[in-house]
Amino acid sequence: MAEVTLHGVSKAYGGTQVIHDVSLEVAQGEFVVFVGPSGCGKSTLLRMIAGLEEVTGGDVLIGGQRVNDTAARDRGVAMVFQNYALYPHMSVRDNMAFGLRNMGTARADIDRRIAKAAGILQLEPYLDRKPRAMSGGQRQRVAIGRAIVREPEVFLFDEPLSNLDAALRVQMRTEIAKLHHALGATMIYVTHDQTEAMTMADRIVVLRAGRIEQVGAPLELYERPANLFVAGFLGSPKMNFLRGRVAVAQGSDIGIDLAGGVRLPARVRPGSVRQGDEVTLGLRPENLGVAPDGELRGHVDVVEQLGSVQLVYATVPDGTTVVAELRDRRAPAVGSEVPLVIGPGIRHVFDADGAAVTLPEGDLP
Amino acid sequence: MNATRSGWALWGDRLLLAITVLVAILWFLPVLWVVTMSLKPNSELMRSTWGFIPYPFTLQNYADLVRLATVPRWLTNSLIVAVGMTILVLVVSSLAGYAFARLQFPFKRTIFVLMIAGLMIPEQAVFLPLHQMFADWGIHNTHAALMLPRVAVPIGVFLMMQFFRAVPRELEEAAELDHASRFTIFWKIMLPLSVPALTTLGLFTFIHAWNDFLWPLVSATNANMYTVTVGLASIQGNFAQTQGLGSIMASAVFASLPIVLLFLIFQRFIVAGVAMSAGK
Repeated sequence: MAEVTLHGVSKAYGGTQVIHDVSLEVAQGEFVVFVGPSGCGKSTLLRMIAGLEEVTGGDVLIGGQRVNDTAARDRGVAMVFQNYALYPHMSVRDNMAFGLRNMGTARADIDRRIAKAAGILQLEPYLDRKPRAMSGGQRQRVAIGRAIVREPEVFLFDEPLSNLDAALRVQMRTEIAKLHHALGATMIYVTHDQTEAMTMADRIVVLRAGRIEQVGAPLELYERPANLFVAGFLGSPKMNFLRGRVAVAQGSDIGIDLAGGVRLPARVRPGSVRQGDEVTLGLRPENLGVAPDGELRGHVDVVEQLGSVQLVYATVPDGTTVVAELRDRRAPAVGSEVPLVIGPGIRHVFDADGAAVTLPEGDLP
Repeated sequence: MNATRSGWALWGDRLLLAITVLVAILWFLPVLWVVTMSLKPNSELMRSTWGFIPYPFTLQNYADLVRLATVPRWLTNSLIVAVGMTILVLVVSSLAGYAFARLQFPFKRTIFVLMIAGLMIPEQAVFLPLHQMFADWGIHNTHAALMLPRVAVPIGVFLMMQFFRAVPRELEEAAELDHASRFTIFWKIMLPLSVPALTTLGLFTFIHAWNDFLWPLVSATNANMYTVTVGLASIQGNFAQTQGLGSIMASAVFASLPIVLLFLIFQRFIVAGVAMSAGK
């Protein structure tokens, strides 16, 4: 176990900068998830920690040691790849033993470690199989097993569940979370799937275009997104955004005029917006309902029945499509006009630059 | 509509099959003719060479051939040269192919272009200087002289390079994290993975080496150093008039037997290899 520190890390390919001055501390035993859309630099950052990509600027520290110039194999990290990267010509046992043999580990020790890892991952019946004779989930377990036997300081996961089907993804997600609990190891996990990030992470690092947008615990990011990007990226279905203008601003209390002559109250950091400013109101789908006294009128386009909840997609007067997550089973009819009511949850407010100005205790009284 | 279309497709398939069978027969007839003539007595062949049935039948032509004291020697030479050349080509091609596919080194592009340019030079164009060079080294009439000019094969390097490029980079990265050195990665990961490509390249090299005629003809002047192709050609030149067609045909069949066997055993790899070199 070791902590990982990034100090102003940057990466450029030729003249193209892909990682911009990233600084981050990952504590010992922490499970940190890098999340962001394709091309945001999350995998590059992980590979820089692994030593598979050179660091153009700044420092990478593992266990307090600067490792910029240390070879990947000497960094004490193990990595699980998206496409498993198992050696196809070797059995599961040999796949796991390969690294240990290269390190000159005693045979008895290799056998002991493989037995232990196989036990944790339920791989005992498959030790003599070749990867091609295994399912995707089993292969990914072997890849994790190969990392475990190395007993590394830090585990790195590069979108390890992307190639699995939805059901298996959920199962493996739980298994990796359990594994983290059992090993207590430092783990850094890259994904583009915000659900994986929300469910597994101690802390989430949201990246966009090579920059960190926000770092924090999953719920903290969900409830207090720092900007429109984070607010829109985390949460499924994503947050609804309604454009409006500040009509009244008194201290932390403001009134936002939306299209259709609706004025909604919200609370912001005092002085963060002024009367007449354009703002964006963010409402989570679970904070939007259908009720006779609803302030917003919506035209129902689609209703998705998910069993426990139903998602109602409706177009509001300014033409924006919003989604409401309803718990009761009486769905409004498609094509009908419904009054949408805003629940007691947080009304997120973002200024013209997209930065959140919501008051930390932003719930309406 | 669909039924009509599938009817046309069916007739198209049949036509294709008929053409294929016809071409196969056209290709096979001369081979059959050669084999038939090799199994007929020379007296019969003097009368007529027609017919695809070896009647009257004899193995005398083969018996005469095997009785020649130098034939086992030539076979051994061919075997040493073909096996040696195959091993050397595989070693050079896989190492060079890997280097071009995955290593970064100065002048890589220039060296690659030079290597590919080698494909465009007909071997006859360098025969004289090559012959002179080997004469200066005093190594004509050795196995080394028969093998060495054929060891660096651009197409082999190119084939292996293409293969190594197709191996996912993550495999090497995983091995790198698994404390493997560059050579360990090559030896324990990349080479075992490239067995199909190596088999194909090895087979083609072996066949080429076994059939090679021109260079052994000019390099090996001592009859003891002849390969089987050169040796059998020399018999034809010397004995054709006296021994007749039967011997010539028997020697042709004899020389091609190992290749035919090789093809029968490894045809899966050969076909895959042709597809690989065509598809990439």
